[in-house]
Amino acid sequence: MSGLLLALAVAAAGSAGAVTRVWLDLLLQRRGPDGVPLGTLGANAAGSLILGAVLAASLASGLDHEVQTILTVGLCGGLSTYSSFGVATMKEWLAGRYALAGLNAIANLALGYAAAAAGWLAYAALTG
Amino acid sequence: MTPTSRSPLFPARAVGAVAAAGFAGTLLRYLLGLAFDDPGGPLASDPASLGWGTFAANVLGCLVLGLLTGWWDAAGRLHASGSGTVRLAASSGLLGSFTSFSAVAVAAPLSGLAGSGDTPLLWFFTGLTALSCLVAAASGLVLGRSMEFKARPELDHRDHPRNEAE
Repeated sequence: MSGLLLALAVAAAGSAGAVTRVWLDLLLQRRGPDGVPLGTLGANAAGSLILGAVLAASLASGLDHEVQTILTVGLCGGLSTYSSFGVATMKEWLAGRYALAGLNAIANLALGYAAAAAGWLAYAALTG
Repeated sequence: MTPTSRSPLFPARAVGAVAAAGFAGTLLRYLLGLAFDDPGGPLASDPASLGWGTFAANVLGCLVLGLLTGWWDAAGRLHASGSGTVRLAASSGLLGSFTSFSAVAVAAPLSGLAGSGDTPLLWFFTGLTALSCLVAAASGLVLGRSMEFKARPELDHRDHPRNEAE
């Protein structure tokens, strides 16, 4: 695959990830405690889950490097986000709601770790 | 055609705008990764092979989204929300895809599971990313707000105790 084609494929996968994330955002906008946007949380967890499984696959069976880049940099990168998470957290912090800011930060990080480990272990379990 | 009483959750026009913006944001992050000579995988084993391109994208993206959000929040009372699609595409579409959570946040625990990469170094990178991004987001929010209030002082109702102190 040429460099240009790979770049376009990465961007297309990221585009699909972004649409999924925004759809989750809109769907879950009014759910959950104030200051903990569930759409962003869900997208970050989903991105981490897929990343865990893809990395397990690539270490176990030498997944094609270009496919890995499209899935990790493109799909997982477009699906997950740091900016929405960071700005939502610091809006609460600046408003003096430190507990909510902390809850949002910890929820994203902890759920991200758990999802990544789950993706990793699921791949290992499915492939024996 | 059946008339619907509710507007759709995610209208086709907004899907198209977010898809285009997400394409551009991901492409920019990928190119930044190439410019920083980022390695393919997130399980780095030395400081030079950490994802510094993604790190730069994350800090810059948090700063700019903070600026935009601070500005829009402060201006919200004056400007109508007619540009909702543009805002969605710029914030969630472009900056949302330009920044990435999965690779930086979960590399450390995965490195532990995989027995590959330098796990303590990756925990340090995760912490450095979180700290830098949160500081950038807060700086952007404060700057964006003060820019709008400076341009339109009449909007600033934050702390005016009616000049009782004299």
